[in-house]
Amino acid sequence: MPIFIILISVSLLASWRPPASQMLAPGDTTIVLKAISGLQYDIVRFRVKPGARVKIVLINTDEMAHNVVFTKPGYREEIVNLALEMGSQGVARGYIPTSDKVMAAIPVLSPDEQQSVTFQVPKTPGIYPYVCTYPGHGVVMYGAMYATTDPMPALANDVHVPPSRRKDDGISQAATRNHPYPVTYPVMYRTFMPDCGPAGIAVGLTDSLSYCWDAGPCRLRYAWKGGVNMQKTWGGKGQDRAELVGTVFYREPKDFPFRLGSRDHIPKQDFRGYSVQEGYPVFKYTLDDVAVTETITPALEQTGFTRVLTFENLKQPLWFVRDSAQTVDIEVNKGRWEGNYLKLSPEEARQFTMIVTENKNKSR
Amino acid sequence: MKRYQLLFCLIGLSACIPMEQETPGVIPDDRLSNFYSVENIPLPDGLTAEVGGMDFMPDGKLIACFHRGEVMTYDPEGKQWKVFARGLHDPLGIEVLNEQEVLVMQRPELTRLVDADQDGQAEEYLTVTDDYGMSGNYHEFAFGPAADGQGNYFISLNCASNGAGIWDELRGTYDSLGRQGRMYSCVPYRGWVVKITPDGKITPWASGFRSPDGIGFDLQGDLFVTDNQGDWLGTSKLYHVSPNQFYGHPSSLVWRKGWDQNPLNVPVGTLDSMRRKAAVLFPHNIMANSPTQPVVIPESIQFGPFAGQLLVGEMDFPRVMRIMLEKVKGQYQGACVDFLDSTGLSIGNHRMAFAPDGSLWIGKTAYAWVGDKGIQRVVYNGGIPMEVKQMNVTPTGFNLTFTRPVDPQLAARAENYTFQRYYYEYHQAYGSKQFDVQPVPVEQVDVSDDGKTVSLRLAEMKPGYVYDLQIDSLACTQGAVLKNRRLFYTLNNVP
Repeated sequence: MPIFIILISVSLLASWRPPASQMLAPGDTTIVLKAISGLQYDIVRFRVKPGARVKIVLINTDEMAHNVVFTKPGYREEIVNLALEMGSQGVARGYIPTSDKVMAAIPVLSPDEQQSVTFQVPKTPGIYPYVCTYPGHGVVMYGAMYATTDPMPALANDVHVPPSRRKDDGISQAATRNHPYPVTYPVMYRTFMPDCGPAGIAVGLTDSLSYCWDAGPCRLRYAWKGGVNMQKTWGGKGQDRAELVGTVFYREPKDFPFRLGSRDHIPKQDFRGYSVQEGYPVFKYTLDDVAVTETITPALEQTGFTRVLTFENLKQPLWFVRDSAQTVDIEVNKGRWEGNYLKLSPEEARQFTMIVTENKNKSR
Repeated sequence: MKRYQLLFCLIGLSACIPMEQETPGVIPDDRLSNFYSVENIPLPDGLTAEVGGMDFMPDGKLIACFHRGEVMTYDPEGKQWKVFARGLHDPLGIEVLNEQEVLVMQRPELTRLVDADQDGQAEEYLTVTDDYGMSGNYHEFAFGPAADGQGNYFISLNCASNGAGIWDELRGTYDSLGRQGRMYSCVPYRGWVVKITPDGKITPWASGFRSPDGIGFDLQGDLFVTDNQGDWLGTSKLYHVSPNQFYGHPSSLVWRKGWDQNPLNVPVGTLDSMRRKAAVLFPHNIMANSPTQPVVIPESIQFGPFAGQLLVGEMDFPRVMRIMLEKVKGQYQGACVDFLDSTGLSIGNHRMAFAPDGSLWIGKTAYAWVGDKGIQRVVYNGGIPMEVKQMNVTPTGFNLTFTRPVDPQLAARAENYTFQRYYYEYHQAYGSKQFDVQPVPVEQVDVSDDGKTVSLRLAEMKPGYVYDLQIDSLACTQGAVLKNRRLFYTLNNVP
């Protein structure tokens, strides 16, 4: 199982709470319905006793306007179309069409507003749809009130809830496959990453080893044992960062670690892209005007990685600063350490290798 | 007496019943879906087909980029999908350079993908430019590139949204003056159209955009950009974009050279005097809620009688809009009309590209807003649908030019043309209602000798208003009824 992409349902379960559908309202009841991101209500179906009085509280937690209209059985689409036909008149009337098929409604609410409506559920058992009739929303944003004392049908087969919600995994965007090809390692995503600038890159080297590289300042940020969960960042509008799954074992120092000429000179960084060689990205960037490449592969026998760097036409010494607080071993094949500073001559910096491995003795 | 009544009744009916009910007997194929048919393109398993960009390779293959970072090619002959590249961050535009190279606009940069060994997969992902800011705000999308044919590319950069904040760690210079308001521009060139020269150097080109999802050139080499209703946009718009101009959403002004104040403190009247107005307004909830890419109908293909006109996609309605432009007093203005309604088109119409065979490919997206997934292909089947081909302003009204000669008796009836006019307020608030909605009587109708042009004289022509025209029963001389009957003309100037 490729951990990099499929450690998914864990997080979905974490945000999953018992659906209101499990609750049978004994008599009068209150249902708190939230309009949430992704054109959906948090609750897509619930059950009430025929003839009960029900109070619906609609809270708009989304950043768009939404309403809710309860209709007589089978009239969801008709009411949606009637609302659409209201055109510009609809705004003033909260997109609630005048129709005897409308049982109850809460007009359009702006983000963060809430409002309630109380009504008597008909004595006739039935499946009463509710829907957001704001233009364009009704196609996907709906649910069903079951007025019945019988159990509801299996969610997976319930045509009264949107197809995307007929799964037991809650607010799921999860597809059975994430891509139109099998994912093999190494795998790379440019995405929003935690503890990184906005131009982040996640690279899964193996199913249990990954690193984060930042295309803004052109640098490795950290490496961890595990993968990344892309579902949240794919599922919404991109608000969420990808989630790390696993433990970070290495972080680079806060300040840019490569120095040119002197220990203090932080060169200007400019990202130039990467090429893919045997699946591994070979990052290309310039530091001042010096062309650099960086290739990261898994270390052979321990948890860690091998980093091959090339600096072309360097005229001055190159320094690399390590963070002494890190519980890793850093092995280099060229240059010499002066405390936490590794110094390389221009000749040595033409190509050198740094092996970063977890130091089990030092780990806390 | 009874007989006369019956006869009268029939005449009355034939004059006022929508003509569709009569036409089947006259022209059996006279439905828009017979001129333009829509088919769904088969997709590979596992592809979440939210399309960010589409173009065609020199060999006729489609190349498209998708929400989860894939770039895929599709051979329409063999119906084969193949992976070209992967792992990109929210790619929202693609432009083919040659057999081996494409440009992709992804969130953090404009990237050149190179398939040097021609195995159908890119091995080089080269940064053309990333010289613009990112605050980490999800709404900072990047759109384009649009090629000017001289080696330059134009991209448009979305503002951030106060639906979320910004990150501690940014890319680019932070300016707190641009952090104000609902949609904001706190890092460079958010809300700008940016020019990129062949060597990758960027020039901030024009400012004042909010959410400019669509960018493209027409056949004359003029650049057009769509923008989405919201704060400072009473309704969605199509702009003709010229260098160094400001288009109305103020946050981006902080990146003007020498600018040193909170743009929201500038009086609305001053901002209004600074801005260039849109060429075409798309009335909200009627015509469009979220317009997308403008694409020009090439003259080299057969796609009906509209070569050279722009089509604009739309997210919330099952619609592509057709744009009729003209220059009046040196500025573009014109009308929009439905184009593919009721042909089987779905919603979420995000990206469009004409294939070498003349078919129009439409990629869908939703992005957790209203929308859809997948790709549809629109094929022109020949024939001339009865449509308004062009709507031109005159000093006293409008000339409507039709694709086919009109039935002169029907066309001469003034009550066939119902105008109302209104405007949308330019203000900081989100959207705008229609203000000063008034009917505009049609005082005179003249039909040209060739029957193709109907000249309407209106009681009033008021610049700054949308003229919303509903045409009732109108047909060509062979009886085919007018298909799309509601037109919206943005009257910036009266000649």
